[in-house]
Amino acid sequence: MDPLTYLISPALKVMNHSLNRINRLLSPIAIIVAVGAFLLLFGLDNRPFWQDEAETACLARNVLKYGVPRAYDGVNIISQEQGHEYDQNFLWRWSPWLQIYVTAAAFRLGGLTTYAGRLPFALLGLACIILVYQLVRHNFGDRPWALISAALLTSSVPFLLYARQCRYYSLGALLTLISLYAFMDDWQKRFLSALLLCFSIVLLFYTNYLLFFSFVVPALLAAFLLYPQYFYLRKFLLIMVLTLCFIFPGMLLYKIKQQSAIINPSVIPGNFENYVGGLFQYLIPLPIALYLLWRWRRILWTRSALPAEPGERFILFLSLTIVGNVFLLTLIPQCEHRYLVHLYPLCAIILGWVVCAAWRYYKVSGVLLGVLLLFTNWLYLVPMDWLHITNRSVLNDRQMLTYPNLPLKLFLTELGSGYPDVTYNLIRFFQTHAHPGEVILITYDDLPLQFYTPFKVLGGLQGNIKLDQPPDWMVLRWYTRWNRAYQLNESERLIQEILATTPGYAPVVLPFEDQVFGNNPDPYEHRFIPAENPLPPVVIYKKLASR
Amino acid sequence: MSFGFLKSGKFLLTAGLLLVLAQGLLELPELQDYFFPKKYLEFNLDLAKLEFWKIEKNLESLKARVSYLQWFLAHRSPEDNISKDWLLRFPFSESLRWLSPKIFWHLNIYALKRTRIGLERKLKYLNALINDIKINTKSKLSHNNADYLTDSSGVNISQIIQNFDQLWASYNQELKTLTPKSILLENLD
Repeated sequence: MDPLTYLISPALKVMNHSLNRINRLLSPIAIIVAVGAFLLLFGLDNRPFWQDEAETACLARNVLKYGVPRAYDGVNIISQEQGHEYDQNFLWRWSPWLQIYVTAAAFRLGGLTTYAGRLPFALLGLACIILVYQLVRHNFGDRPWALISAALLTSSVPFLLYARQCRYYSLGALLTLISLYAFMDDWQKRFLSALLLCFSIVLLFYTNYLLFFSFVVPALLAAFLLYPQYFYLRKFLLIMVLTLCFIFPGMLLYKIKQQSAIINPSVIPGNFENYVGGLFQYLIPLPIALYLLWRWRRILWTRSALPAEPGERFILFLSLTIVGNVFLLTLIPQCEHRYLVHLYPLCAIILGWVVCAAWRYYKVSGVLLGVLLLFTNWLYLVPMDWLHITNRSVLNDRQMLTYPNLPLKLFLTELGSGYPDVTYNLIRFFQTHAHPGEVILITYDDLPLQFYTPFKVLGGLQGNIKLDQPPDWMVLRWYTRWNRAYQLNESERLIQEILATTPGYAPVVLPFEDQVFGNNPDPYEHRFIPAENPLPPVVIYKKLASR
Repeated sequence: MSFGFLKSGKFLLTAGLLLVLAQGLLELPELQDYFFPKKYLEFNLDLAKLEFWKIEKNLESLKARVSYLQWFLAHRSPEDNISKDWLLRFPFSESLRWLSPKIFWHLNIYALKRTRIGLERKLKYLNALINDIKINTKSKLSHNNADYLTDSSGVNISQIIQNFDQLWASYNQELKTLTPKSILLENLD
């Protein structure tokens, strides 16, 4: 070796290592993950838990106390379904326990704080972004497609809102992605992939069984149609039997039979309209759905029209799974956008593929499409507005996701400027004004008050409210709530009755709006910026003789 | 595929995306207020009109269903044939009544409750929307902004709001009249 080369080469090697490290740090996926981490983790506790999150948090707190999710902690009862969620021992039997135990573990490590409760789910949301990239890269070797898909998921504000909740949403999305990853990873030959497939599906059941039924059935049918070569009968039957064995105890525990009795055929058309509307308004823009439909139109009558290119075949598989998922969800009486959250990563993969196809077709259109999908919600809403089919409540205002906007700008404004959250204001009021041993009766947001204050809190959507004496505080919220059977909630009826018959209550009008929900992530409801003209203020009734 | 088709396809795709981009930009609240200051107000006026139309339809439906169920209670002998009038108004329910009166009753009571509560909710929301329109118009007019006196078709906005108030009061009254009748039927379920 030339003496000069001999002298220089170690130094060059060191430089190469450093450059490689910098390259890795500045690689597009590292930047996307860093942006995702910021969007998911920054200001995670800016707003307190809202009602549904507080349900999980209160149950998790009881897990730390009793080892199992109990609906009663000796002071308060956790219920949003008129007491149907628990048995005679107050054991929670309404929804699966995985999210409750994840939250309990976070509380054990980080204390009973909002940040600790939301952190594991935000991290799982981040894992979704990484897995979307890895799923596409690993199976199809298409780096631009993988990057665009990951970037689209990172910039999806509804997904970010749901992933920042102390609820199962990001967990469901991650398990959906893991099951797809394992399925595409030669599960019929590799034992570990088969095991991963089985356990991801089982855990999906224990995350939320609605997601399990609505995802697994259409995914299986779509896989039979598009990937028949992946099904080795013996291995498939083995996984199916194993999965059924694992979910069987859960089917008995979670009162599934009792809940299936509330299926109501008359709500199916309305649900279908809402889910399809939600799909086009937030997950897949209508023009792109129509383009895909047109592209695959011949599949309906000839099997030979099935796409041969592996990437496109996978996109068709995901699309069929999503369509089947929506159809199955319409059968379930409670129609909520949250049941579509596990489909956001799948839609990001589809949209990533469409952007790449547009780029290959004509670069200008590829860039335009990418910009529209990454930074705006215009491709979702503007065509729907043209057709007058946009779904928005009368109470929505322009600074919400139901109107054409720059969603990330709204999201960052909320992160930077905060929001005068109604739940926060209620918590603060009672923390500073109520005294130990006092009783609060409220028509909504009873569960956040149970979590953040030491008082006995009754009301909300509980039924059978037992009062020994008139409560010290009452809050009749502006928005009236009825139960599933369209009866006025017990708490509403009770407060109206007490106010009409019992003297000695003085109204305290608080200087903030009585917003319908606090930090509800539903894109139809979430407010990032206070409304231009707020709703009426919160009115709290105080029992004058209480002190 | 011909070169011409490819070229026109590219043109159409780009034009479509640019159209969405332009429309989206013009609908951004900040830009919309700058270029078309009255557009959001007019949008809300249209929204209120649409909601009033929906409320009217639902009130008609509620009234008809109450009458239908009252008629059913008065004529519920099994030998009653299908009523032509009700078949035209409620084809599914009237067919079902003949096949299974019990399921017919449950479904209709459910629909009755849903319509009544939906109306209560809608009227409450609409009241908030009308107040919102009033506050906005008042604040704009207080800044001597004469543009806000009329909408784009030349109709006086204050007059429109006044009509909304009257309509809201009359629909609310109608619902209040129907509610006890509806609850009476619901309690029989």
